[in-house]
Amino acid sequence: MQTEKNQESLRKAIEQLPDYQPKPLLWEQISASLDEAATSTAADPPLPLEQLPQYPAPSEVWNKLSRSLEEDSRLRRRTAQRMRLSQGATWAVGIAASALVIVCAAIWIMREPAPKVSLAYSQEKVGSFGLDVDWNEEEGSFEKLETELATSNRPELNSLRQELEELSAAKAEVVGMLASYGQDPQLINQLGDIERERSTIYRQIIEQI
Amino acid sequence: MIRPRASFLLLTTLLLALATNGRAQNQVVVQVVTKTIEKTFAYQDGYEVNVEGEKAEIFVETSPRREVKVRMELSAKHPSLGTAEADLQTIQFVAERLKNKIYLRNYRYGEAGPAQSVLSVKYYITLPESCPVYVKNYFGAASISNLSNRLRIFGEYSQIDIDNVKGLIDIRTRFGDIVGEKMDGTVTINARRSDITLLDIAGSYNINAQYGTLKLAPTAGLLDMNIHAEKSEVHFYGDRLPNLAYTLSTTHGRLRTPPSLRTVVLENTPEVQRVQVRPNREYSASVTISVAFGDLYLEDARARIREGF
Repeated sequence: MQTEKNQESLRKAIEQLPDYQPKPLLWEQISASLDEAATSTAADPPLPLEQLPQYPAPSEVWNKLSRSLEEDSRLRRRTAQRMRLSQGATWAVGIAASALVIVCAAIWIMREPAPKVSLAYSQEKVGSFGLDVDWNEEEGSFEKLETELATSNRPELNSLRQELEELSAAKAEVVGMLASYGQDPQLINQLGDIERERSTIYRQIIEQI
Repeated sequence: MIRPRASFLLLTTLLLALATNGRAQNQVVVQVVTKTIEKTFAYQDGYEVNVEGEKAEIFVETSPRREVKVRMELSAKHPSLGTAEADLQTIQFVAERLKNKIYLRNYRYGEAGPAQSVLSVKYYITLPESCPVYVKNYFGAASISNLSNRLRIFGEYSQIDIDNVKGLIDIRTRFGDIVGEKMDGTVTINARRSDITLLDIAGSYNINAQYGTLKLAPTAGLLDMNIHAEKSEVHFYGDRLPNLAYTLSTTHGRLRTPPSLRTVVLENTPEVQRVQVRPNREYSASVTISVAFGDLYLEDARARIREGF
């Protein structure tokens, strides 16, 4: 686009142009002449449009027109509703996202840190390791006695029999723990205590048989 | 020339050196691999610490900080480092909070099979004194001190040591002895094949025991004591407390009271002995002890000195 180089000079020249005012009746004269042209006089021939025949529109047309207008207005309403809904959904999504962010932040702040796991290596000197002890060496005698007691079912011995069974079950648990956690001296001591009690009961039963 | 005394010293030194060397040669060097797990939980009122140990040594202590601090040490010992490492991997652990319960647990991986190494587990737990604690231990030992709210213990083959614990205390044990000092509160103990030693105790006690030796030394804070024991031996060291009302009975067992105590004999047959002791004060704590197939001793000061407390 071109730009006026002497813009200031042009502005001054325009300001210096003379002012003219129209005559006072000029606008009224123009208005009257226009009105005269619009209305026909007797001397003038009638306009061709006015000679055309007039037909009323069929009722279906009006119905269709009405329906289309209704449809249009329904469409507009639906569109407005959809827009409102979509605005609402946008709000809901926004609120949900904010809530999610807050919850995540709270979880992150209140989270319990994962456990710290470390490994250490050392050496120890021990007197012996991995004793191969057969804990069931005498088991045959005990089993034989338990079977005998179960068969005879003597009331005076049943109490001792129950004790023996309880101690046998306890021994089995300790032996199981020795297999699971290794030949720990503390476990071996516990087994020794149980075996001693078991032997005492065994002797008491034998004396009464 | 070596003097006889010097030669004796030399010979002794040589023999000692040989003996030490021989012992050193018999020693086995084992590799020890230890996995340490450390975790701290923020504490809130209503939380409970729930420990489920397997062959674990559990130490519970208190601190004024509002947190539960846990250190677990899992270790494996074996002459071969590879075997120790592999066996250590078979011990599983849990240290997590679910709602208001803090769970600590160890167990061996189900299909791991027998361990070649000697495995051990230790828990060091520090928590507020008002935090309720539940300990379940299968083999091992539990040592708990200074709690003041609620303590529940279920032990099997596990020694239980309690020191200065108050509140509601519920202990169930089999094949695991209990040693308690300075306990106070409402205490329930069910013990089978376990010895029970309670010293300087106060509060109310309900004890059921089978196949154990019970030694009980209360303080003036004792409110009442009910003991039902079977095939057990009960020693009660209440001689320094004049305000106790006793009802004592044995069935198929001996009943011994100190001569200084004025007893009222209620029953005295070859099977049953039953006596009562009325206190010399209006207000008294009642002690009811019944033993079946076992002996009951109301001990005097000499026995207390003999026992060292």
